[in-house]
Amino acid sequence: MATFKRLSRVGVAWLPDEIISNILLRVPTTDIIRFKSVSKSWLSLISNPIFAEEVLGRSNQHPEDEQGEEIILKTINKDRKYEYYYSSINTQTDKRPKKLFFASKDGANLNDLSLIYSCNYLLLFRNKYHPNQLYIYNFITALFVALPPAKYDGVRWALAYDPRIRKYKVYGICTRRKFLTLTQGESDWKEVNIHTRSSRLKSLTELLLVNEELHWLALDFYDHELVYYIVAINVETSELRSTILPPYYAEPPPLEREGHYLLTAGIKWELLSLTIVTNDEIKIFVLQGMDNNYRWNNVQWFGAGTIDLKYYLLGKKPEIFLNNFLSTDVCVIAARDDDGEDFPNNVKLVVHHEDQLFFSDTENKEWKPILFLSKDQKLCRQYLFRINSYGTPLRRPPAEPFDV
Amino acid sequence: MKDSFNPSIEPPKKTVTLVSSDGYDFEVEEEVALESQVIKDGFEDKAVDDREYLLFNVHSDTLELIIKYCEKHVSSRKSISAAAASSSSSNGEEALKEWDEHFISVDTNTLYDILMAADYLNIKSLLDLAIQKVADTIHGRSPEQIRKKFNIENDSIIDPWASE
Repeated sequence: MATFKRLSRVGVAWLPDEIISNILLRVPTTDIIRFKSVSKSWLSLISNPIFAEEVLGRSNQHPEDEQGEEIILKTINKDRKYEYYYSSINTQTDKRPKKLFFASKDGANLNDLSLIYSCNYLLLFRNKYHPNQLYIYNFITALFVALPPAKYDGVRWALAYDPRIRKYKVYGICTRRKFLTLTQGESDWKEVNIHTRSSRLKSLTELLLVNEELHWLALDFYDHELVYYIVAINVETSELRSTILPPYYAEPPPLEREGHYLLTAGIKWELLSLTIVTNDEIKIFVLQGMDNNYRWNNVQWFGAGTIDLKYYLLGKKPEIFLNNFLSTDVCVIAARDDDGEDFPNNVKLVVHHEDQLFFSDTENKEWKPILFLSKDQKLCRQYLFRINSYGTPLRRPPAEPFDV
Repeated sequence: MKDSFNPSIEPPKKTVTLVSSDGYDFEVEEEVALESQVIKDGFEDKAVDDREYLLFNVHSDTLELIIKYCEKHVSSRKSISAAAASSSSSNGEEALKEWDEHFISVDTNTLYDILMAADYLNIKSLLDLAIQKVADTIHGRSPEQIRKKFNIENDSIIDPWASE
């Protein structure tokens, strides 16, 4: 029975935590994160792992979270200190990004960290000087936890949710051709050998989660020829398979040149797209040939478009100069495309110019000011993430990710 | 078509007395009072002549609104199911939604009172309505605006999301 309590008529006086959580569960996650600074009691309520679990569990249901236009910027200031900022980019223009708050550091120095992956409001960091040391940051609780060191140095890492066991897993392609996994709550990494024909397998893209398989593009030197593979590993079974890409018929993509490679996919998953960013071009290729069982059959790839640097120079904001797609003030983002129909639009650009960040997508090529960022701060790679990029469809995860 | 509903031969409605925190009696129909899960629980065990509820936490101003809400929902449910039975088309659900929206468009203090009363009386649909309304009003606000709205003292030692 409810306790006796005299209610004064002076307006909003006090709300039970249960009601506050119910209210908060109906606002977008960006609001919840901002409301951590309302008061100590709100902070402790929002930071409660059980509440965080509920937020993570429902976050794909909120229409504003679906849009996912959220970014994390890594910057370096004049004193050579690294900082992380967070913002959504789909609203007003006069905003300043918020600084990422670390409730704990777990022995890490922020200046030694690289942000390397994100999934469902969990961020994966790596120690630059110890490439086998990883950390998980929970966006909702602001907790930062060091993972058990991996046995091998990783080349690429990813974070994904395994719905079968309802736990997160960290995946890594490592030196000595090992594939490593660490399951949330466990202290030992599991390893699988990667068998390929030669020893020169080089991963060109980040790992992309498609229908419970992590995909990446790899390059191998085989029989005096360069061979491109799409490699896929099952997040549940760690079963690995690779498919050789046929030579591109018209014009070989400039894979050997210095470039930035982005692999993206639509939610329908019949297609993957590969975006290759070079100094003066963004080229988009579509890989086709996935059958109903998500196996690659008769893979084909074809060009879906080329975006020339010159095009941006003629944009509606001529005062913004893009000298080079690969320069440090330009961020090229592989966005997650949920309808999978408009591949070229998967690539978004953010440019730091003066004290503003400008946003554009490859479709309408208009520069839209999105955020303030001081001139004294430089963007650095990994410069930019959408919080939900690369993530699985959000499902209810366990309470305390990586409390190991 | 024969009219099955004839008020003149209905037995007299059973009523329940609700007493507000400031001492006013409200006599309401039983089915209206039963919208509250708290009243419903153990209702059958109570003697018929003892069906009086002292609602220490609900002021008469608020109780009046709560009763209005429950009466509306009871009568709407009836007309919706009657329309469904005679398979005549009805926009009852839609109209009720509209009515709810209008009902809950009140000032912050009243909204707070309704919220607390719905929680205390455990009227789930009203609690949902009030919570959604509060969520809509805080969406997009700054922490300072939230403090003001909820009368919260700023006791944050640091503002973890303050930008410099």
